[in-house]
Amino acid sequence: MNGDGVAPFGEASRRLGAVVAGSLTRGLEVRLDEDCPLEEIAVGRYVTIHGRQRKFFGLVTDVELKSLHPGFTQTPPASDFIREVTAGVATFGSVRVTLYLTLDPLAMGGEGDAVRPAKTVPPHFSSALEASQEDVEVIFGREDASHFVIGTPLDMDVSVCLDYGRFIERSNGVFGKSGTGKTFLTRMLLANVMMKSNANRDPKRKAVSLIFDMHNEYGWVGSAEGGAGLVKSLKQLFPTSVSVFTLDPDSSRRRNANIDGEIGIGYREVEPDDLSILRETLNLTDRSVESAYQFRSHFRQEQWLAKTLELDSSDEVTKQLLAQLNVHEATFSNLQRGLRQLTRGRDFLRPDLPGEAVRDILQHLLRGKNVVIEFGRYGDDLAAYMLVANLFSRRIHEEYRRRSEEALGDQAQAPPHLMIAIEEAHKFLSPQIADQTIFGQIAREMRKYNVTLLVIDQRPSAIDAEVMSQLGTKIACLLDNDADVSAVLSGVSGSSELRSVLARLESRQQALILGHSVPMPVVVRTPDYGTAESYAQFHDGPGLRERLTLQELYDD
Amino acid sequence: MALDRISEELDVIGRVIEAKVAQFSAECYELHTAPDLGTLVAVENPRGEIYAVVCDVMTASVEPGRRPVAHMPPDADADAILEDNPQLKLLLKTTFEAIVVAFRANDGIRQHLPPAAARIFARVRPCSAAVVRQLTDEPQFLKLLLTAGSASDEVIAACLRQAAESHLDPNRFRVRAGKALLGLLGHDPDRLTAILRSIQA
Ligand SMILES: Nc1ncnc2c1ncn2[C@@H]1O[C@H](COP(=O)(O)OP(=O)(O)OP(=O)(O)O)[C@@H](O)[C@H]1O
Ligand SMILES: [Mg+2]
Repeated sequence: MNGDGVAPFGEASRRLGAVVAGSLTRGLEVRLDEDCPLEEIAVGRYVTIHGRQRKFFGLVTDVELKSLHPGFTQTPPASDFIREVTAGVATFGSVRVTLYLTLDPLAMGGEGDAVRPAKTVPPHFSSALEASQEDVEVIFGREDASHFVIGTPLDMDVSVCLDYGRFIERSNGVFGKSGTGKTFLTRMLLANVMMKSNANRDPKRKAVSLIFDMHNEYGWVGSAEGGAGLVKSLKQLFPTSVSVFTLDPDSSRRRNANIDGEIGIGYREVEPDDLSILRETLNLTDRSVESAYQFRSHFRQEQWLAKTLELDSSDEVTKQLLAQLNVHEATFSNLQRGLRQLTRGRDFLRPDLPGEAVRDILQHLLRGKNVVIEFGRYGDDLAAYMLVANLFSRRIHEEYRRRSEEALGDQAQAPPHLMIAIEEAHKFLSPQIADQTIFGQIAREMRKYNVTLLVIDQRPSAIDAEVMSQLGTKIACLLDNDADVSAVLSGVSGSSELRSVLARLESRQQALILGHSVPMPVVVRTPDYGTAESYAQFHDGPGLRERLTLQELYDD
Repeated sequence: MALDRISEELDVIGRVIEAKVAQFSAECYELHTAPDLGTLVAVENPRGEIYAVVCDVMTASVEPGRRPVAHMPPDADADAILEDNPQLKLLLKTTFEAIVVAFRANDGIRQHLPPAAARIFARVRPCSAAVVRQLTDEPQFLKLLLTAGSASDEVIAACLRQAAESHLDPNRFRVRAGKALLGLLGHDPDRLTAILRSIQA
């Protein structure tokens, strides 16, 4: 073998320095060479370290000024000459490199398993170099049938890809404080998943999305700050793969949005379970939520909401009923007030609707169509958003579960993989209610019934820790609240190093990606969205035939 | 002393009169002609020249224990006294001490101690500019100077100051030499900075 350990890897990129200390868990300390320009080595850079038999791949997670002896820094050098002499030798830069992967050059070019998690460290004084484009490509994959581009690493001109199969396999999260580009990023993720799904012939690798579009950004157009004002959204890019339903047809009309239908919720569809997540919003007591279950069993599901609303506590019959159900009068009036509040001014919630919305949505999904539910003017109405998202998701999940169980053993019969996208996810997944909502359940049961979540949130610390730990891939834009940073990084190895990376992202279009669908954490700049070129890469083209076969398979 | 026979070799300054492997003393042919402190000198040697750094100079009576008596009138200047009393030159001698730092082996200059001491009466001359450059380009020999008890930091500084003049880019040389010193004195910033101060341009 070659003594310097460099030759077997071919092309040379810029040397940064030599490994002088460290450990696998705490990261390696790389002492920068005298001539290495300290100011150009930013946190988040990739570093390749040439060990004897293999390359190691890691991330710069800290940059530090060091001195050989405290005496050198206690009295700063008196002259330029002395500063020049001491620079890089007595006073020098050092970077911390967290190791993630090893690349075995002997196995390279063959099967893909040349890239493995790092389980050891390179020897003392191994050379640390800036990672070459080639290294980055080997690690993050090229775009192909199972990988899609999510962005480019900082200061590099290569693509970072997500593994499509792994992405749809588990629940995922997109985090970042307000205005950091979560919605833009999510839209691109969804569009890429559509592209990959459409291009896939294997029914097991098909995925559809159900998007609860709180602010009307995923259907026809999305708003952009400054400049253009509007960008094309999913329905415009994928007219045949996306169906848009609205809760507020007036609003859709005003916005000239092309929609596929109006949906609403009939009273008969509302279940006491839906009330429990609305408890806080509607100011309901625990008791009154409990009493809702009693009214439901008394009046039956179809009638309970309408009938409970009609009850008049001053009349004798009602009094008798309350006594019979053992419901206190105060509890009842709290419940009734809550229900009135819920039904008032929410035109999509109507006593007379036959309750076919869920069936319609489900049919679209089973045909391989992605469904966007626009909230129109109800976007800022948290109770409406939570009620609708919870109710639809619960029933669609039930249906998925039924079908998955029926199809058990026969993958071809199972419904296409479903990804449910929710904004403001912490409202559904807070520790207090995560175990009561369908979303908490989906996150926990993982991919058992082919349903996963895509949670979009600016306050990850408000999400139940267990749910966070179940997320497969986390994509984090800038977060500046410590608790939020911790929430995103909990359970991630090397999290203390990644903290500094995460807190230093730019305020827009930069994200740290970690987890299941990338081989190691990676900071990317996300592509610009909103230009003609950015639209051109998405199209509805291939996959028409696949949709037809799906339709044959799933049409009742 | 057969001084005149070899004085045609103009650059010869003296001969070794006492030698250990790491250090030697030499006597100058003429009074007051010792090389400057810190000068790199070469000693002829059949096994290859030996290089050393001048670390001390002494002019004294040839007879140990007998000091010159300074009874001249106050208006006579030192040189004039020696001119007027040529016999004094025979009673006095100038010697210098040098610390061995390198030697020439078959494959070039080695910056460590030679296998044997210089020979008695070996001729000593200043190193040529080429040898100075070669030695000081990567001055590992500084370690020998630093550890030889008899060399003060002043000698090191003087040596580097002189060597700078033989280099095409003296400033670059000073920085490089400074870094070499830093490698040796990294544990003692005060001492290092004192030397650096005295070699800076
Ligand atoms: N990839 C991108 N290409 C072009 N512009 C972008 C991109 N990402 C973000 N932007 C710009 O940043 C603005 C904010 O992005 P976005 O609406 O996605 O943020 P957000 O994180 O969803 O904010 P909020 O929490 O308020 O919903 C956009 O309106 C757009 O102008
Ligand atoms: Mg948003």
